[in-house]
Amino acid sequence: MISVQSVIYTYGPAKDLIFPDWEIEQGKHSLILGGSGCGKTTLLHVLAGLRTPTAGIVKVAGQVLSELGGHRMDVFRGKHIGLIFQKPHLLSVLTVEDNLLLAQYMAELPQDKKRIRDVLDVLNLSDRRNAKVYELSQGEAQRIAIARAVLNKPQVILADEPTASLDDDNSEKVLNILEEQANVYNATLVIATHDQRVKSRFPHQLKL
Amino acid sequence: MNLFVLSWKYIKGKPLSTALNVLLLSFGIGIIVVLLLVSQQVEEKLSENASGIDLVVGAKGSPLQIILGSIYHIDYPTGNIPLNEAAKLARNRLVKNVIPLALGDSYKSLRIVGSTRGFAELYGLVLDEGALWADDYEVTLGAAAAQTLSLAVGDTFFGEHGMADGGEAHDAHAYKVVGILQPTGKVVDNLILTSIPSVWLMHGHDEEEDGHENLPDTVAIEALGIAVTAEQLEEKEVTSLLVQYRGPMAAVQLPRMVNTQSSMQAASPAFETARLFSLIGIGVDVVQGFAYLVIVMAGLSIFIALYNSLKERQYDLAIMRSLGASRLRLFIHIVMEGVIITLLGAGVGFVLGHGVVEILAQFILKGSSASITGLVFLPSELYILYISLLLGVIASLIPAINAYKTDISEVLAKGA
Repeated sequence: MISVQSVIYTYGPAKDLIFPDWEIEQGKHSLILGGSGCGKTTLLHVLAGLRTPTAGIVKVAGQVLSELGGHRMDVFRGKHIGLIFQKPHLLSVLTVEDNLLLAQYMAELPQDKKRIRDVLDVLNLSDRRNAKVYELSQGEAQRIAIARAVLNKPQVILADEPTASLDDDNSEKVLNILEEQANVYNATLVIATHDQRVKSRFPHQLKL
Repeated sequence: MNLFVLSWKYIKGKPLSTALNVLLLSFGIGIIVVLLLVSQQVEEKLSENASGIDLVVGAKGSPLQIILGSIYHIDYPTGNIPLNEAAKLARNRLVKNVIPLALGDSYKSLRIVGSTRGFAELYGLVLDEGALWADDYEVTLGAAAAQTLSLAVGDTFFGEHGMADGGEAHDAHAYKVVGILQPTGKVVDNLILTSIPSVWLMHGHDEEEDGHENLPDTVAIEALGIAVTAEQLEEKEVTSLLVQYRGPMAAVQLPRMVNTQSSMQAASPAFETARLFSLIGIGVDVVQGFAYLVIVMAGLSIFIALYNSLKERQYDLAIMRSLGASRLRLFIHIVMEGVIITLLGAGVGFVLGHGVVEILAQFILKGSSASITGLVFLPSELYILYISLLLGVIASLIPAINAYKTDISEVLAKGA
C-alpha cells in the first residue's frame, strides 16, 4: 500500500534527512516513532505529497507520487489520503456539515449530504451537523476532523500526533475511533507520534 | 459548497470590516454615479433644447445670458431688438429660418412666450387637446404648465408683467387657453405659448382696436412668419431670434456680421453651453477627484483587511490544500473575496447614487425645467462596474499570491 525507497529530504545545505526503506501492506496499521526533530512529520508529509523528496521513490496506493504534479497531486491527495493533525483545524467560518462538504468539493467528488450524515452517525455526532465550529468541545472537534479524514473513503489515513493534546481518556477514544474507521473503509492507518500511549497498540513500527 | 459560497462565508465571518469596506467604496462610487447622472442629463437637456438652433440673436449684452434667456428660459433677456432689424436679418441669404420670440411676461412664474408657428415646428410640438395659438390672446400651454396652473382648454387668466411672480397684472385683456401640448421633456413643457401680436397688445399703450387684422396695409414678413403694418415694422420690437443657418459659411460670417453691423448681439448655443460647462466643470472635477480618492482608499482598506485576515487563515488555507485544493483554487478563492466585496460596494453605490439623484429630482428640482431622473442607467455606468471589479482584483492580488505560495507543509508542521 505504501512503499518508501531510498528517500532523502534536504532541508538546507548539508541538512539531509535520510529515511530508511519501508513497506506497509494494505490494512497493516503502522507507527512512525521518534523524538521531535527527527523527521516524523516530514516523512508523513512526503507520504501525503505535501512535500516532494529530494531523491527516492514514494509509492502510495499503487501510485508513484513523483509522477503526479501540481493539481493532480492535490486531487489524488483529496481522494485517496485522509489527513489528521494534532489539532482539528476545522474552518471556523463554516458549520460542521459545510466543513465536510468542503472535503468532498475540494477532492472534486460529488457533494453527498447523505454520506456526511452517515459518517456523523457512526461517530455519534449527528446532532452536531449544523453546529458552528466554536460550539464544539475539543473531543467533538477532533472527531469531526476524523470524520473529515475518512469521508472520501481514503485508502490511506495519515495522522500526525493525533493524541498529543488529549488526556488519557480522550486519547484512548480517538485511537479507537481511528482504528475502527480505518478498518471500516479498509484503509491503512499511519500514525506519526512520540506518544508512549500509542506505541503498544500497533506492532508495525518505523523508528527514526 | 463552492468557491463563491466559501468566499462569502469568510466575508460574512467578519461583518464589521466588510461593512466598513462596502460603505467606503459605495460612498465613492455613489458620488461618481451622481455626477455622471446629473451632468449627463443636464448636458443632454441642454443640447436637446438647443437642437436645431444654430444661433440666437438678441439685444447687446452677455451672450450666455441671451442663450439662457431665450433657449432655456431661466435668465432674463438682455433687452429687445427692433423688428425691422430682425426682418432684415431674416432676409439674409445665409439664414435658412428665423423664429422670433417676444418675452417679458409670465403667469404665476411660468413664462409667456410670444412666437410663431415656426416655434412649434422647431420643437416638434404635438397637441394633446385643443389647438395651437392663432388669434390674439390665445395661448397653448406646455404639458407641465397646464398641470402646475391647473388650467384646461377654455380657461382664461391675466398675464403678469415681468418674469417673477407678483408682477403687475395685465388686466385689460385676459389670455384664453385654446390648447394643451403633449409632454416633450424639454423646457417647452413649462411655457405658455402665444402669438407675438398678443404680447404686443398686452403692452399696447395706444389701446388700438384689435390689432393689425383690420388695417388694410398689413404686410407679411414671410421670413419671420408674421404679418405687420408698415408702422408696426418701424415701431415694434421682439426679444430675440432663433436662427438656423443655410450653410456652413453662415457659421463663420453671420455672427460677426450681426455683432459688427447691427445693434444686435449673436450668441452660439453650442459655444455658450460649452463655456458654461467648462465653468461648472472645475467643480465637478474636484468632486470627482475626491470620489476617486475615496475609491482608492476603499481598495487599500480591502487589501489590508484581506492581507491581515490571511495570517489568521493560513491554517484554513493549508487544510484546503490538504483536502485536495490546488494552488490556483486558493488564489481564485481569495480574489473572489475581494471581488465580492467590491461588487457589493458597487451595488450599494449604484443604489445610493441613483437614489440620491431621484430624491433630488423629486423634492428639490421638482417642477423646474431641468427635469432629471435617477431611474435611468447610462452605459458609462458599466465602466464603473468594470473599475470596481478591477479594484477587487488588484486589492486581493497580493494576498491571493501569498495564498498561492503558502508552504502548506510548513504551516501544518508548525501548527501541530
